[in-house]
Amino acid sequence: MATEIKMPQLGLTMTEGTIGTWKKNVGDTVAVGDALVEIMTDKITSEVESTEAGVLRFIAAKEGETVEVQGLLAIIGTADEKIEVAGSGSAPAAAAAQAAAASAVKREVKASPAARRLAEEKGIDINLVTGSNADGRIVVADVEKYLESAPAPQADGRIKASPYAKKIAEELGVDLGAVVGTGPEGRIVEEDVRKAAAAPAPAKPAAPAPQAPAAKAPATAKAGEPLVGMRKVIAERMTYSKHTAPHVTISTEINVDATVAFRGEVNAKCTDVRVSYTDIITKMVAAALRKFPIINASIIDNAIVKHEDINVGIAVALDNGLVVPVLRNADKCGLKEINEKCKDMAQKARSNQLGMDMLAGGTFTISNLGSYDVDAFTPVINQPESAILGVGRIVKKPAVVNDEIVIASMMTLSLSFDHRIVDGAQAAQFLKCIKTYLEDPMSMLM
Amino acid sequence: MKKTCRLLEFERTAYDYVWDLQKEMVQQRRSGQIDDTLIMLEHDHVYTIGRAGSRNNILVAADQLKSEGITVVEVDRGGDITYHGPGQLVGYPILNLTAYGKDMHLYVRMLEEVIIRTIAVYGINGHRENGLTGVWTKKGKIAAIGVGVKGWVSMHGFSLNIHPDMRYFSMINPCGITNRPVASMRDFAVSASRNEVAHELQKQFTDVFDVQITPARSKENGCNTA
Repeated sequence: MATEIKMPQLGLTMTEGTIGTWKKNVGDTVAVGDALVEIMTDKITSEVESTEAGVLRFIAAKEGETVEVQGLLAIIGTADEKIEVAGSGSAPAAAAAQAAAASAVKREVKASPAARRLAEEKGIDINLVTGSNADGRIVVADVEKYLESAPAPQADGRIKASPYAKKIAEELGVDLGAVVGTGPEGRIVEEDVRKAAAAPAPAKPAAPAPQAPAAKAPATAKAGEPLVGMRKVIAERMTYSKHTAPHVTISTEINVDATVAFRGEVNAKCTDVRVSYTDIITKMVAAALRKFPIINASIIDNAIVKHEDINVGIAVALDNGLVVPVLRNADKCGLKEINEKCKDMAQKARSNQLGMDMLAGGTFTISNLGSYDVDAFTPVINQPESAILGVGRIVKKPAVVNDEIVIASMMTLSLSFDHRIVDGAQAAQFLKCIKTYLEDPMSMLM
Repeated sequence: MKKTCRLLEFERTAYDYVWDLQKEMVQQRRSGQIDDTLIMLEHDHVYTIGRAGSRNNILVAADQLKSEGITVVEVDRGGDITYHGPGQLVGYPILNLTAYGKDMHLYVRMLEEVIIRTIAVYGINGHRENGLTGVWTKKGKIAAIGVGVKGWVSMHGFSLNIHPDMRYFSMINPCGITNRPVASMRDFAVSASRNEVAHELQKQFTDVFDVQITPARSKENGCNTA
């Protein structure tokens, strides 16, 4: 079965890469971990390594060409199998591949089938093994000897993993290169892969999740918009969150007259700032998180970790997706500081200038859809956080105050929480706390 | 517990020597023989040409380069041509990027952040320019960045102009950019020494990458260490 080598996505914002130097030629034998080609993006050069042992049968892009993320770079197969290149006028390509195969066969070393199989299993290049039989033919003993003598087999980038671990890694979309093996001689076993899949860089919400091999589209499918860049990261992270955390969403409607008045007063007093409702809610949420540490927590390595810092992420909608810049130590910031920092973060987010430090380390997220006339919704938790607050619009409604029907400014808050960490009553108390602050902002000072 | 990053400091060193050392350390890092390492040093006069570069961006004849004592090296990093030499602070982080977000662009942005914060300490306002990796000031580009990555381990890195002889930049189109000037910290009347700036930069590196810096064991790789 031939394997397609594709342009990897090496960063959140990478959509394409330029081919640098090919390190292997069509017809060359390659081992797992062999550098195939150098690719360039921004001011970065990176090597794409082979994930398969076999023969390089087809090169899809020449040096200097630009290939989009997940675009075909090369095909690795056995020396003699028929190679089909999807999409391109495959006749010349196939011819080239066949010619290459012929030359590859000539270079093939003599080895017993069992020796070949062993070499393939161990991910070693059979060309490197010296044959001990009379005619130089390689037998199993030679491969074993090579394995014993080879110093630290991982040093050259090869990955030792059990076949089952490889299969699981493929299913879970885990890059074996990033997995630390705990088996004999650092061999990667199933448990290592599962661990790696369960702990995707918890402190870095902006990091793209490990890439799953692209699903093969049915031959008849129309070319859609490729799932790349930020869209791909969002897709992976949202799916991961929904698969990982049992979400529960609760909501409550709040009379926010006092907060409306409070905002009016604040903005009247400080003419140089215009504090938004999101700023005020951020402040209130931070104060409430201080009282409910279990909401400001994550599951890391099967343990509940309550974070000391309160870092509130605020979702910012972009034309092509969204990002969640993080306001650090939100509980220690005054309203003016929150306002200035949030404005700066939103502006940077829209001009694609957010630094790493502004995207990482969130402990709770706020998503405000009020400006789109949304009342309530069920936001998806931003892993590895344990909850997210959805803020609805403020709208005037008839309300009952002191047994009289009056016009009041009402707002609905929706809180989604991870039921592995937080129970309904705790989440409700936390939401109630924010509600109390909104009903009477002064109570935040208590 | 915080990640640790070893610090390996050199005085003025030939480019080739450190390039070989980097390649060796990338292999060692990949196989887990060493921890993350930040190499910091100053180079002898050298023009390095990245994968995207060409000798066409050298504007003087080969014999002039020779008489000036400048070598030209074609290297395996991203980017075009740049100059390294005395008065520049050069940093080569050998990091396993899987522990830092596994995002190469993010990594480059983090390096920029380190430099922006470092020069801010000296009152210089640095910024990013869309599509032009490096750190820019109102007087021009003050730091160049070019990175090579193998199996998510980084090599090459950044160079910050403290007070290099700017004449050497005029002999090339730095980074292949023809119409943008190169700046140094001296242009902003900063007279700090390389060691002072290096010390400040290490502090910022510690913050941005959230690591603890430890001196590398001396005699390792047969070199003098901090």
